[in-house]
Amino acid sequence: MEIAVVSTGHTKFGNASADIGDLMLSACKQALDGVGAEISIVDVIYIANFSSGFCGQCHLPAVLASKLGVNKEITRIESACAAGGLALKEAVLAILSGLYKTALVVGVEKMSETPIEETTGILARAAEKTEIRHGTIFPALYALMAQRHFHDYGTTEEHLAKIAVKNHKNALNNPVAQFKKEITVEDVLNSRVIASPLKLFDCSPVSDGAAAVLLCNEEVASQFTDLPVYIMGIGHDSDRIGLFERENITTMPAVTHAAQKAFKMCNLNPRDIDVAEIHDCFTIAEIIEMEDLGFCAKGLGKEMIDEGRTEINGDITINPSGGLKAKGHPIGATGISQVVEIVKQLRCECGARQVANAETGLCCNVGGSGATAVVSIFSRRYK
Amino acid sequence: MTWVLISYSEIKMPLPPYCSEYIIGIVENEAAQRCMVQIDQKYVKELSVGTSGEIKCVDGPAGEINRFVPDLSKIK
Repeated sequence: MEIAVVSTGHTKFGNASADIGDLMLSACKQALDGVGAEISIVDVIYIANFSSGFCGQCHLPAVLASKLGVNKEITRIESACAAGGLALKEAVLAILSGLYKTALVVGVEKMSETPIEETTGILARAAEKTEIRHGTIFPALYALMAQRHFHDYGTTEEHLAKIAVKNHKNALNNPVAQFKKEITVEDVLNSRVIASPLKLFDCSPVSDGAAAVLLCNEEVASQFTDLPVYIMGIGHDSDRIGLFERENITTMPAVTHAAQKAFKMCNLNPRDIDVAEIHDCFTIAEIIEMEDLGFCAKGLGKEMIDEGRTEINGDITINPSGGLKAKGHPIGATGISQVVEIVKQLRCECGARQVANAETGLCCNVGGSGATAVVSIFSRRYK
Repeated sequence: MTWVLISYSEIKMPLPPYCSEYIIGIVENEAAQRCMVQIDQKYVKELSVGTSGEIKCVDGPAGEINRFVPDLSKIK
């Protein structure tokens, strides 16, 4: 695939005073300014966003057009927490169609001004109706997966806690991360239960933020940068929305299918990946996705964690940014934020959290309880 | 019909209109049909993956829900 990311933008995740339009504008301007480009060079824009319910603002394409002061083709993409990955895929398809040479993809969510009970309710709308009627919240859906994973494979609360500890440690060196606090396994295990066996420190936070990437076809990319990062493969899959509708709740078939498509597209396999940003909305999700992506066999994620093989410069570095858990999780921005981190890693721009000699990276962006997945693979070398 | 608990979670942060803690679960019957259930919190210490029981339809605050009642005679 002859498409490259040539520049990125990222606001600090956390509680932002800026409104949703200004968050988008800030990320877009960073991406353009990074290569000295004007908005006029952008052919098409995609916005990834989950819900207008948080900040009361619909019609985001027009909001962004106003902020940028332009008339452009701008489209909003929604697929729960996988909105970012899906927006990236749509931008890739747009460029591959030959109709466009450049695309700007921006993900955004403004959540912090909404009371937490209301936020929980808005997030629950991405679940199946029966689940909602039974009072299921998203932590509980992932808790159901965790409980069964514990039963089937011997994974424990300590394994999940080690993931939270690793991701908080990584976030210490990420200037855009929401949390800059080292935590211990005991801190996680002693934090309050949200939905057993998941505790507060197993959960990603409520966040505001935006992230943007500027994509170009290969012909245009060389005009902007000597450090393009190529999109080698991208796979997408949708599954049944209800967790109870799936045959096995310790796996996310959409992740497996999306990964298979992405790997096949570039003739690579999981062993080729040096660094990955995967969707740790809850700590159990990181283990399940590691297994479903093929980084280890089913049930062996816990051993990779115990042996430190997913830490920075381990066998495969997972979530050097701090992940959703510690970098933050502004829903619509997350999938693009993952891409920003991988691009920076492959360009050796990550300072103290840099993965040595990283050449190939992967993003896994998941929606709902695994019903939507987008897996994308990047390289600084074009094959 | 007997249903078996596939997984469960005790929710300590109830989703409105619920206002007190409860347990949710996924159960499966002999025909491999699955459904969501709620379970009374008084059973929390009796539950484990594989616990069997019955389900009853009851009115919940947001509409009809399945209530799982574990068969205590089969729990050691």
